[in-house]
Amino acid sequence: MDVRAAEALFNGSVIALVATAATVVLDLFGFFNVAVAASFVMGSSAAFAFAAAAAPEWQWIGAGALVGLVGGVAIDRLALDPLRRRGRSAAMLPASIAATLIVFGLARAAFSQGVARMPHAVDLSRVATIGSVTFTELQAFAVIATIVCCALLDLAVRKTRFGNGVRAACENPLAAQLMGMRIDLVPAAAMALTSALASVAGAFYTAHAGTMSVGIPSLFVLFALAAVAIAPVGSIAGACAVAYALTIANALLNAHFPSLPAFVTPCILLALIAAGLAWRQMRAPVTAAVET
Amino acid sequence: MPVQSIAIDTLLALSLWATLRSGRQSLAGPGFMACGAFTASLVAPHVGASLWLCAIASGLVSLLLGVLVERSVRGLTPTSYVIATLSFGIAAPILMLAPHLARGPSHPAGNVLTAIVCLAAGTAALTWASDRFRFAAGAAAAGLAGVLYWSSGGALVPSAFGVDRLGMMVAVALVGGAGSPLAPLLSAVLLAWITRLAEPLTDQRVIVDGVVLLLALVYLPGGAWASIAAAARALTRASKGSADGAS
Repeated sequence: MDVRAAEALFNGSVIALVATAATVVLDLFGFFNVAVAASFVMGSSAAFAFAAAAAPEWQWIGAGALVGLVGGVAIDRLALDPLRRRGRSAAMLPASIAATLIVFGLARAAFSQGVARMPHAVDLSRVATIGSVTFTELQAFAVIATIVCCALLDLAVRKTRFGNGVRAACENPLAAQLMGMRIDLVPAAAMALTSALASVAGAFYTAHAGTMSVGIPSLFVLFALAAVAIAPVGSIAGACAVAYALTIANALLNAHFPSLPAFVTPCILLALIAAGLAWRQMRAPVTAAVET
Repeated sequence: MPVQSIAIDTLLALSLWATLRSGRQSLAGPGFMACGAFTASLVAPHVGASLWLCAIASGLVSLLLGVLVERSVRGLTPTSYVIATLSFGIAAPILMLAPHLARGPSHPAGNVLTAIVCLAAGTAALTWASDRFRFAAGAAAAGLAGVLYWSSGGALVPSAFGVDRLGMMVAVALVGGAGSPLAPLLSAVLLAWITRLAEPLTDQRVIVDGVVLLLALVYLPGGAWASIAAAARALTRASKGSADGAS
């Protein structure tokens, strides 16, 4: 069970990063950003490229974060900003899908599918035991890095001048501009940060799986969607907590019922998403009434 | 094969087109497509692998599932609607195809006539469906896309109905626009043609679809159909004006 617990925590970290990226964009810009899948692939590609170039292991994850940061700005400037300037907020979702298609295609063109396995990560596969749970170094690093990154982002969004600026610029761009803010840079910065999170998730996944990923696994997307649907919109801590809770519950379920059919997990996730959205729908009029 | 490919893209895009007119974006299409493909693979051994019977069964099952899904998501806010339909679109292929993988697909060879008939049926269903049943009709069209995919030798694996398929659906539906049920057909033909033109540059169709979709979102917000219709109207007006001037 301890191996499964470590695995569940690792998967929870990957899903928490993706879910956090999605829920922050949903909160700030009001659309579900499918381009988190693109960021995931960018991180995976960067990690693979650095591994293939025999770079030290720690650089794989750093490269993933950096590529995600730059990729986020590029997606915002090239795909989302032209629509934002024209006031077409309904087109943001398809634009994020278009950006995802382009990144998927470029990743496939650059690295043919399943071209090679990554060199064995000696450092990252070292084993450490914490309590009764045995982690590899990568798993432990992923959990700690996820919690630290999400806590810092939460702090940045809620408590700092940058976060207040982002919120102000998203809620009332004109007022923010009158206050002297560079509102043209705010969305790009927010997209860069969230893209970097999803990209790190991709780098973790690739370092762990040992192969390049030219797409995001469907089950991971479903877990992330469940975290986004269940946690309050924009709640970074909520999304992380739900992601970890879901993966641990899934590991427990599989440990106690090993012969469980494969479709049970997606069924449960779908039910949870439906319940989360229904709960949000029920609470929406109440919240609106309290605000007025 | 291009005819079948265009028919699959068009039918799948019709499932999104069905909701565009009401200002919503349903991303459930790949789920209904997987449902159609799965139903066909289950029905085929019992009906002597008749493609027509498989298509009818898949269309009906997807239609019923479409009614159920539409009832569940009808009252949601636009963002929740997107999350709900996207979740269904991603979960359905995993749910249906995971137990099927071990057995592997077995299917007859597809043909062009079936593709054309399915395309005509899907477009006609969307043309005449009332607003209330448009989502379900779109689901049935996506189910027919699944039958065509299965009959043309497509692998029944969840990744075949993932984010790529979703992106292609969105590209075909939005490049065409919400103007007419024929818009996705026009768009699918246009994208196939552009993909062929771009072959010397890239063999990745998703790149072409993504770039064209981005350009269409920025420069053709109403879609290609609306632009062509406007050009046709302007031409008619101009020719009428010159005819009046001559008389």
